[in-house]
Amino acid sequence: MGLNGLLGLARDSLMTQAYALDITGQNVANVNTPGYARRVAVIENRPTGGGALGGVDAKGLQRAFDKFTEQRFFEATGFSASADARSQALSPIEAMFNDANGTGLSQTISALFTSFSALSANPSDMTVRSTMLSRAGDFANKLNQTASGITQQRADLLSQGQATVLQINDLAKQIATLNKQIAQAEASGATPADLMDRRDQVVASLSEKVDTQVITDESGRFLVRTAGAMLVNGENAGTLGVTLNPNDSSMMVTMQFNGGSPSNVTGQLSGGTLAGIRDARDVDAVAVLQKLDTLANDIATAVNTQHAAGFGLDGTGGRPLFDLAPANPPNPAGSAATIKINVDMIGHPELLAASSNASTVPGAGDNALALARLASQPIATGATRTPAEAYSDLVGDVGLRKSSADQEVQIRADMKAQVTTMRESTRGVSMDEEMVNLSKYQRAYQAATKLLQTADELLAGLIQEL
Amino acid sequence: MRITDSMHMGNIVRQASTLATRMADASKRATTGLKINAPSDDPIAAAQLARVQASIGQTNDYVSTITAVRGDIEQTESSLSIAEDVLQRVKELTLQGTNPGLSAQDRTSMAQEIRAIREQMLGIANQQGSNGYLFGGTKTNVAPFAPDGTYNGDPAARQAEVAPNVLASVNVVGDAVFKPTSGRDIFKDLEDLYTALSSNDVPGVTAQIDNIDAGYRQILAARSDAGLTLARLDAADAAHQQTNATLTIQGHNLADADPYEAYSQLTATQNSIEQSVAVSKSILDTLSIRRF
Repeated sequence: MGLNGLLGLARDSLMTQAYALDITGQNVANVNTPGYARRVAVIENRPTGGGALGGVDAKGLQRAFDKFTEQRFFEATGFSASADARSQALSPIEAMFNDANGTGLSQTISALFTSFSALSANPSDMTVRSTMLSRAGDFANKLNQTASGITQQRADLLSQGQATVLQINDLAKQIATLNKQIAQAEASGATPADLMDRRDQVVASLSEKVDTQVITDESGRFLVRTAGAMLVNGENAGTLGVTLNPNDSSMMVTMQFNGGSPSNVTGQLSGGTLAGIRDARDVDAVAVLQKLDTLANDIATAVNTQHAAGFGLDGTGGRPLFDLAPANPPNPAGSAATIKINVDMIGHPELLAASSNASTVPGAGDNALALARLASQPIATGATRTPAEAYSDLVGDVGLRKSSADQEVQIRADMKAQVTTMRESTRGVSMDEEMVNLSKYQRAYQAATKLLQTADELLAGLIQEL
Repeated sequence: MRITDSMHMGNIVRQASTLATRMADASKRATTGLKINAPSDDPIAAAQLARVQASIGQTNDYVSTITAVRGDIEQTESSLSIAEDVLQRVKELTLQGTNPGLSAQDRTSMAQEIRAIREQMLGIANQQGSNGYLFGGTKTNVAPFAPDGTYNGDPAARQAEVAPNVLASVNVVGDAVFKPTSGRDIFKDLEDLYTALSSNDVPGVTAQIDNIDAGYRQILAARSDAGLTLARLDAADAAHQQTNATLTIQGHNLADADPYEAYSQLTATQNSIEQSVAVSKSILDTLSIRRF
């Protein structure tokens, strides 16, 4: 090989060690960069013999990356985000049933039956009658407010879903663009580590919004699947859309890919904010509203029946106290939102039917007594619960939904923390390790300069002799 | 397993965040004094609490009803008491009236007094309370007794619920007291007495002695019934106060946080935070071989 060969070896080593130092420097600089995957210099022995030079060659760099940990990370992020979204969405609904803060219906329901009692004791007192009408009005108003609060929350969640879907579509386009750029870079033989880091970041953001599965197929194309359908295939990105299902006003999420017709993927959403919104809006809120409607309908119907059996001060009976307008009777849906005082009774407390017989007005309060006694009769929930019991069941149900959502948040957060640790363990930069590497390559570089110096002196000596 | 710097940072941040959440919960409990600040804090207890509050509300209902009807019953009782005294006077007059030493003139002036007493008795029978006429049954808007003694009310008893499934009569029906079919028509008796006295009819007056006495006992019986009703109302009221006291305690047990426990949890969490901060600092300082 000769002295020139030695010079060549020294040069190779200098270049290689310098490259490795460069990589180390990059890692050190990016220790706090979010989503940065540690680079490792790929150093190989150049084969000797047959005219080849031997020595060392830096082949390039490798990213520290494990696709299994990555997938578990995306899954865990998705589950955690969906639990958070559901818990947050349930907070305003829980706040409407919080009797500890005075916002619940417990007092309004009690006050209604209390005013019936008062009417039974003083049926001809106009002040008592006016108060009674006023309490009945409060009862109807409170139900209206609570129902409209829940409906408003559902509308807000739909808007949130639409905004989330816009973000998802944007992220999908970004992934497709990055895929194109990465493919071009790889075609020219380089490893576009920065672009790949960036793509991982975008996919991580995506996994917070919707469940994400990443697949690399045999031809090396990068695919992203969401809700059981294809979202990104190489350079092509699909779009998600959110509309209202006309049959049951539930949130409908559709996926359109590559010019095909939109498919309904709502049922396959399994993670991310979108799944949490769907659950809170179309499972939890719907159930709570339905229970509220049933309660309103049960109380109002029982009161109306008893009230119609009595007579007002004008000697006529058969009037209901409340007007109910459920959209599809006997389905109680819409009762809580539409319940009002009977329009004929407003401003006419003398029409309250305190008496059970037209001939015993104005002194008889026995019908009012029967109305008051409804409070202790099983008139609600399929004739099995008293009004107070039915309301307490409703409060318990709301509390249970929220508390189990909160627990799930905790569990998912712990799981995400665990998986994040594993991911970081593979991808992250350890300063200790880099410092050792720095020293390693530094010494090798110094040794190579020594080699160069030696070869140079030998050559110089040889030339001098000649 | 490789340990990287961001794992250290991640751990420190997560622990600080968990402790901050625990701190927030502990201080909320300590400052509000409540275990249940929202239904999700303890759904089963929250549901129970709602039922307890409803029961307290219902018991308060009964107490309000008792208060509302008590006034009228007391007034009824005192009216009947006056009627009693009045009839006592009539009894004396009737006995006096049989005294043979009296002249027709004396009996005529007695008759005038009897007439005035009859007016007074009519006034008592037409007494009004907070809900209209007391003795008219459910016809509380018309005077129960006409000047000629005709009863214009009805025989309906008014009832109010003063305890679960316990109904109390809150009125005394006028014609059952003043002119029952199987008793004395007091107005008529007074009218007859007046007639006997003004026509100096001594045997007629004598005949009225027993009648007036029976009338007097009639009023007495009605008055003691009213008194009994009042006693029942008092007993029911006392029972309700007791029930409410028990329910209120039950409510507090469900909702209130033990103040000592809350405070000690708060202190413990504060200590944990301080320790965690110290340990984190120590970790960050140690884990570095930068000085090479």
